[in-house]
Amino acid sequence: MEKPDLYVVARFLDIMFSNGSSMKNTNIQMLLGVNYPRFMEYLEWLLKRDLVAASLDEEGSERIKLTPKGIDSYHRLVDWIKETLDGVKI
Amino acid sequence: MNNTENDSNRRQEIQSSLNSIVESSDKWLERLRRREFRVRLAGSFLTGSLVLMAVGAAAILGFYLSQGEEIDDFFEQQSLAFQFSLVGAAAAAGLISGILTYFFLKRKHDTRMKDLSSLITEMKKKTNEQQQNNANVGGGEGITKEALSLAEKIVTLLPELVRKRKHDSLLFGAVAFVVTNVVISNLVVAIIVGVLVWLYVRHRTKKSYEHEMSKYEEQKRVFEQRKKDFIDTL
Repeated sequence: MEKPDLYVVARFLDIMFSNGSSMKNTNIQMLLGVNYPRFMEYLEWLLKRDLVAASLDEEGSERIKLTPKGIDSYHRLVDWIKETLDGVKI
Repeated sequence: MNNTENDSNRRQEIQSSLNSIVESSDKWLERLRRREFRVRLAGSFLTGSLVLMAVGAAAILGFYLSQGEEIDDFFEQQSLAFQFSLVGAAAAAGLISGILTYFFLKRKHDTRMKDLSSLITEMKKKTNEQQQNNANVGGGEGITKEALSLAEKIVTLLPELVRKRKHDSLLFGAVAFVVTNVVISNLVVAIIVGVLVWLYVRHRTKKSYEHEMSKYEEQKRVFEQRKKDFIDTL
């Protein structure tokens, strides 16, 4: 993937943060609202940057969790949006 | 402090920032609504007054053209009941057109604010759900996508608002003209007051226009740049 859409990345991090614990791929994909190949592209992109980590549960299915770096990035994103909205005056 | 505590603190900080985003968005929308309400009131009052004067003037002009007599004769020749009904008709026409203008402008403003309003409602709903789900654990959806979209809409809307504010001076001048004319019944003084108010508001708007426009355009540019940078720094 050349340039990911910030909105999809933000939503991905959002879902992971809001749910706290690790999640199954299909659950994330459903909440993200993109098709599976697209979801896999984003997942790979995030895994490559250590923003999320994959592990196997007892049943052997893959689970995704937000890493500390992912939480940091999400924190930065939220603070930036807050800063932008606080800065606008009419 | 162990990792779990650290993580929990960071989550609380994020949650507090998310709540703050919802609050500032709400305040922002409220300020915008108040401003548009003032513009709506001035616009409706102006339209109503103009229609009232136009109806009155048309009646007198009609009399003058058909009879070829002075305006004073018009008042002398017509019964008091007729004069009252003429004033009443003009007032009713002014009132109705003022009300219609108000609702027309309200519809226009509401359409423009619909997107912002629904984004904020969605954010509030999700934040409440999150708080009910006890913030840190359990399901729910975040609000960053909506907040990001809202921030983008706001930075796009601001320069447009400033551009529109440029026309407000004419509106205020016209309102000043109508009010003065009604209060002191002197057309020349009303014109002078109207022009003075128009020039004053225009001067003030012009003074801040360049500064505000460049500030908002810069804000928009920085926002777009930071959007790109954010992805690059991940």
